[in-house]
Amino acid sequence: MKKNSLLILPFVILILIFTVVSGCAKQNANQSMNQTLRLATTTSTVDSGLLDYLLPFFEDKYDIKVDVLAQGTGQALKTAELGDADIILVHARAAEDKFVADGYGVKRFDVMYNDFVLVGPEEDPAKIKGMSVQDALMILSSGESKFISRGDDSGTHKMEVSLWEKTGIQPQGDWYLSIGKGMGDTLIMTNEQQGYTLTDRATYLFMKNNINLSIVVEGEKELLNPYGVIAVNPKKHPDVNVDGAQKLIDFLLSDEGQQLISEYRVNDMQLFFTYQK
Amino acid sequence: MIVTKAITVKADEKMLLDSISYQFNKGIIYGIIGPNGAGKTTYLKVISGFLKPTKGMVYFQDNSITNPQRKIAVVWQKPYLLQTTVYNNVAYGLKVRGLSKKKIEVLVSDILQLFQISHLAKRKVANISGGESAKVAIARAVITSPDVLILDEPTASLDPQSVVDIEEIILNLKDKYKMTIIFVTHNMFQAKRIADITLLFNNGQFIEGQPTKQLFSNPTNEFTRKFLQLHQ
Amino acid sequence: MDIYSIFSNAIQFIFSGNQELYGIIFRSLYISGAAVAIAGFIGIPIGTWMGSRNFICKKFIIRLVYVFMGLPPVLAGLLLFLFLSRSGPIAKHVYILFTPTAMILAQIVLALPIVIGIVYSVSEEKASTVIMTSMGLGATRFQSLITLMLEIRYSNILALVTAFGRVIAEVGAVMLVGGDIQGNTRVLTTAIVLETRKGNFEMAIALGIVLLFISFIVNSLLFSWQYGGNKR
Repeated sequence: MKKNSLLILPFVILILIFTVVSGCAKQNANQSMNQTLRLATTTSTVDSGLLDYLLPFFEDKYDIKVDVLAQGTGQALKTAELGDADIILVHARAAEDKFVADGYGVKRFDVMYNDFVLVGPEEDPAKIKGMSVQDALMILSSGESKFISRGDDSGTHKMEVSLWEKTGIQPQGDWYLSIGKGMGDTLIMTNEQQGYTLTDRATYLFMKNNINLSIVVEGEKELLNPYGVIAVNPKKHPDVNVDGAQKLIDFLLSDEGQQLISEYRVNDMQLFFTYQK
Repeated sequence: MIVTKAITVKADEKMLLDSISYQFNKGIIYGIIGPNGAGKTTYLKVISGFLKPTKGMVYFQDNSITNPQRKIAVVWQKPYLLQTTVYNNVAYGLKVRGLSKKKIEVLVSDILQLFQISHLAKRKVANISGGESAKVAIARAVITSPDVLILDEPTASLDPQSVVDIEEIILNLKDKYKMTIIFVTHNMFQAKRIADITLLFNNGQFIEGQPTKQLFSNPTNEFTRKFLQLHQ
Repeated sequence: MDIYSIFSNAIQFIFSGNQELYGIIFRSLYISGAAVAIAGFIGIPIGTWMGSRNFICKKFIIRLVYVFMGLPPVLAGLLLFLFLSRSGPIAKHVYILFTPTAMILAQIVLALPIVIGIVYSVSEEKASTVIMTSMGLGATRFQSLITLMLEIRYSNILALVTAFGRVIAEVGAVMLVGGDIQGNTRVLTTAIVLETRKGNFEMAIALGIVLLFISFIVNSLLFSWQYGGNKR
């Protein structure tokens, strides 16, 4: 069946091409960068564009390629716990401390912060503009307007939960939508529903032009959102790139890194703030 | 050439073949007739080694058949043609035997000529007629010069001209290659026309096998007489 | 945000010569193409063989294959993630989590049941006819299986196209085991998720259009070939 077996030939060729190409691709990657570092982080640092802006400086300086996994705090912590990331950059203080205490992380360092804001429709149907967070949440829990919750165990979600706890309200009902999505999706959903949500300022500013939402509550100490960086502990996972992780930590905390972070602007607005030393 | 000894085939509780013994000899055309459900096709399957009998043995030139496919060629009822060209269909039996491309070319062109279908060589089988398909099916079976050719209803649902052509081909094969040919037909007259010996089956039983002329002109068996009368 | 301007921007973006976009397209084609090719190489022979004979627990295995045809990609991705993780069972020997290889593996897991399921159902239908025919012409059991595989070649292609359509449009598994790393494991679907999350609807839709276009091209190429093949 010579003639018929020709029909299989294209697939054989296809596979060969794939094998060769993938081999080449790998070689190229290896040649251009000495090593790779795997950073598990929250969606906000990626979606806000900060890492796209910041990491090339680091990569050029140390000749280390950084692979970024944008996952949300819960998944990022879990990924690192399993040993599949070398370093994490997240914002959920309690979970981070537990991560270190359990021996998965070496040590936590403050890198930067931004803050959370409560956003809602331009017309502010619940009339909560300028109130304190607790008063605003109290009014929202009456259920006149929708509240969209990330519901994904992320840093932002954990912050939201702790705010409800402080208010003493168990949010549930038709008005409370827990959607299990990243910040960008949540803002889009909030916009579609013309509801309210808690967001980090960075992502909000980054997406402001695409949505019809404005800030209703901001500027309280409770709403500060600190980002921490932690290298994964080589005692738990000997294969992690602890050396590269330390270099990235050093870079982020260096004067250069800190300055780059505070100089990052989207639409002429500063998204992340560094600590005064 | 082929000897079947007490072949019995049972499916569930049904007796499909009941202890059939017969000896087929070289260079003779055997026609098997009988009503529907007589066990004709089942018997062909056993002879050609596709069906293992419940009891009994098939001997091929003194050896119990182990690899009869190399010496027996079968053309099933409504033969399935491979979805490719006529040439590839006819060449198939040679290809699976690992013959060289040159030898295959020569043999195929010979047999296509013999069957008068050379002009179809490059056609896809989807584009040829029923009669042509039947010829292709027989051509690809005999190209390996088998000792035995088995045909199950070779002319069923063919036009009269094709029936004539194929019967001629069958007679030709016997004369030219001294092939043993065993065919099953529901058409008594076909057996009368081309079979040297006609076998009558009924209800899983072998009734009798006689030289064709004798069976048709002077049947001795009671059932044979009734059967022939009914179909005359 | 009016839809018209989003679409026109998206189309402009596709033809803007953006290197990253082309990289993503190529990577999607490479990963899904490799996965489907490998799934085909494994699945087509298995499916053909399964249709050709009876074996122990056949019904149960077939049902299992059909269940896995609808395997949720996210579940497949999660299980594979845990399997490939540094804390998983094989990381000591080979560590491929968050690489294109892991994504190919994930898509093989999704594509294989589809290929086997479709090939099996067609093979089952044609197996006895084709095998009887080819073995009747002297093929060995193995040769007859190869013939059967070729006889159902158009269905095999259909199986591959179906599988390709599913895996290239799938996001759950590649997101989990690939990690959507820029320039490394970012493919069309994960990029759409990312750009949507960022609110870059133009880019997301541009990627979506490319994805649709690829499906369209692959389908029409192969179906026109199949149509031509049946006609020829």
